[in-house]
Amino acid sequence: MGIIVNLDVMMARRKMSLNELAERVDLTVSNLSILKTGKARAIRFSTLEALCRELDCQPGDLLAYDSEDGEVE
Amino acid sequence: MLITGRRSLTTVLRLILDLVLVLNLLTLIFLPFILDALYRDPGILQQLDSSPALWPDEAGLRSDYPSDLPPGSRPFYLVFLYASGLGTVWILAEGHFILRRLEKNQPFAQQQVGSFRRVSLAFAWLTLVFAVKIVFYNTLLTMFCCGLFFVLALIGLVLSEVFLNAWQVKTENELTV
Repeated sequence: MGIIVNLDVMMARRKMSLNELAERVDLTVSNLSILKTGKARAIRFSTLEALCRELDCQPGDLLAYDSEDGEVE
Repeated sequence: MLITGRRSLTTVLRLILDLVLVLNLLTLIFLPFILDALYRDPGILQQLDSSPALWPDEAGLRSDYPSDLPPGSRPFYLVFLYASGLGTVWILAEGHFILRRLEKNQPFAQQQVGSFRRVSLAFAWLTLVFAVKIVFYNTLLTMFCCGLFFVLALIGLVLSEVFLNAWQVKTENELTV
């Protein structure tokens, strides 16, 4: 898929662990891990909103589009 | 009582299916002896008399034999019963695995799709076997079974597609964060 999830980058910038973020956005660690590793097929607006709130960022900071990656898929 | 899951109605159904599977296997093992006994005393299975052959003259039937079990038909029936028996074993075995997954609360596992496809294939095999029997020893019951198995093969194929869609939706839902 051409969409890249930069959650790990933002977590590193905010120095936040996966467990801590999962607790703050009320998600399970396994679900957040699916998102972090790019295995997720979709993301809810409510989840995106919670992530942006806790990481103090914009949706564009978490998601990016790579056209080359998209073509390969 | 629970319908699916552990110790549910599904378990009861699976046990019945397992019993039928064992009986089916035993019958297949002892089939030559059972067939010998049947040809020695054709009256053992009285119900065979109630299904009249469609073309008795062509089949060369005798009145003291059941209509679709004429003398000299033993080799054909041995092959026919082995072929159809293996088909039913296949279906029952797949049924066992399908019900096992229901007991484990995995009704929409990906393996269900394959199981239903194989069940459909087994019914198609049975349709073919009974179609061959129609050519050689036709009865109304044979034609009915042939048609029924064909419909069941189609139902199996449709169900496999339904379960494939269900599995895709389930996976999509699980991977939505």
